[in-house]
Amino acid sequence: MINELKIISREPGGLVLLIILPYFIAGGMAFIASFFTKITSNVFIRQFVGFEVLMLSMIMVQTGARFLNEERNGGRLEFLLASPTSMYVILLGTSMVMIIVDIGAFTIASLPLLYLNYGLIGMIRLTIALLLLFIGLLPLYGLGLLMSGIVIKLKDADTIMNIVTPILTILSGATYPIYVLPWWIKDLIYVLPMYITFSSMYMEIMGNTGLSLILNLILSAIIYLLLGVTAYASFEKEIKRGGV
Amino acid sequence: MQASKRRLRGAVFREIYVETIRGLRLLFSKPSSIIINVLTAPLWLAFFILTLRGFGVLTLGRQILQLFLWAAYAFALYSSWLWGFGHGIIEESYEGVLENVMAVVSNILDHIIGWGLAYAIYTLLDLAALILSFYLIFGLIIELHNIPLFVLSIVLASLQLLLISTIYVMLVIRFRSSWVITNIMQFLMPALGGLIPSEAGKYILLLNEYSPIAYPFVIMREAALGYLEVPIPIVFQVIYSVITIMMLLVLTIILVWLFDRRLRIEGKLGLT
Repeated sequence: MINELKIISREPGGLVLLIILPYFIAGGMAFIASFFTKITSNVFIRQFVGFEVLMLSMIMVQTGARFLNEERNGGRLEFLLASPTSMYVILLGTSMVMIIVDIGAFTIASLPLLYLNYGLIGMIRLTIALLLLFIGLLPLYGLGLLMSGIVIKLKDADTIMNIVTPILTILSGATYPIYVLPWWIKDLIYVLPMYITFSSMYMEIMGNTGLSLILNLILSAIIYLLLGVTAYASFEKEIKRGGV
Repeated sequence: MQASKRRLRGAVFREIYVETIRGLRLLFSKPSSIIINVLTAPLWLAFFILTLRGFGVLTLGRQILQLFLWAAYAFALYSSWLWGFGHGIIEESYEGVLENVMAVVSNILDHIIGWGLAYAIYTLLDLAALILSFYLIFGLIIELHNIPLFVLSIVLASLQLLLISTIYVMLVIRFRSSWVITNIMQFLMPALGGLIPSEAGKYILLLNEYSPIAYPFVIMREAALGYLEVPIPIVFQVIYSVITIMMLLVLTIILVWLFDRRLRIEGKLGLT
């Protein structure tokens, strides 16, 4: 974790970008939309949270796979697999750093917006929303493990990510009303963790958290972590047998 | 003397030709990624439109969709040139590939122009992917009122972006976190460079009228949609655009010469 933190801190610009990018994207979209309709502060906050959740989700899903891809390209994957430390610990360490960085970036980015709109009560809601974000990033870590397994098996991170990223983006349901979609896409969105994370955080920020949403989020964390661990274990076993 | 000049010119063209072919082979070496880019473009477009719905935009007229198409193409061009072309050269520099290139090419500008020509051809795929996406999602068939002017606008836009990306690369090649600057640039530059149609408001109209880098993209929309977006005759818009490109070319030649000299004399390559 410390190693990964050192690597990330070498590029402070990246951290700044993580904070300002949601403003660029949500602001840009709001600018375009403002030619057709009036954008209220509540709508902007909902979209801002949606873009934040979407962006952090993509980072979480890709972190492990990108890390393993870089290690393989650098010829270090064999040593990592042979080391006594479990790959789960290594991947968890890498992803935990991303979770900390992501939550930090979300806090800094959202603070001014929520304070200006909701005052001090907004800060309390933000604290709970951050906890929900933490829980929401865990199933994404599980998905990330699954992606890591697929990447080291198929040996082409870029192609896989280029396919997975737009599909997950559109299935996030975080920046648009999902009722406009056909039922089978809606069901897929409900099953994936991004929408539950976004909904529970947004509802909390609005002061209407439902317990069922939080329970869904926890359940989703358990299921996706189990899925990720099992899938990755099977891929790793295959790789250890067949070679990197 | 004349013969030696001709030989030199011939050698330069040969070098540019070789670099272009090399660039094209490199860009088309992964057909799977090209297919994926074309196939995923409609998904990105659908996401964009759904997000507008999230902001409360319920209907979009045909004219608006045509404007969106050209705005999306302009954004794709800016993004592709900065990321694909610009960062390609930055990566070459960091990984030491530029040293090898410099050993076989007499001037680094030949490499840049050759690679740029290959990239300009490659970016036509972006246009194809967008036209296909708009057709699949909205059933939109593009309008092209003045095809020669439209082709000219693509040439002007590509030349301008080649030069801007090269200047950008020369300036940031030694910076860390250049990808961060690129990320910010890809949002800021298009806004200043004609991405937003003038119909969006009077300030945008002023921006498009007075920003010298906006003209190729404004001309592109004017050629496609068949009406003047800024109150300047089209001939003058083309002339202003050519003058801007000439000025950018001079700046690029100076910067590349300085960069080339620094690399050859001081040997400061890679991350040094």
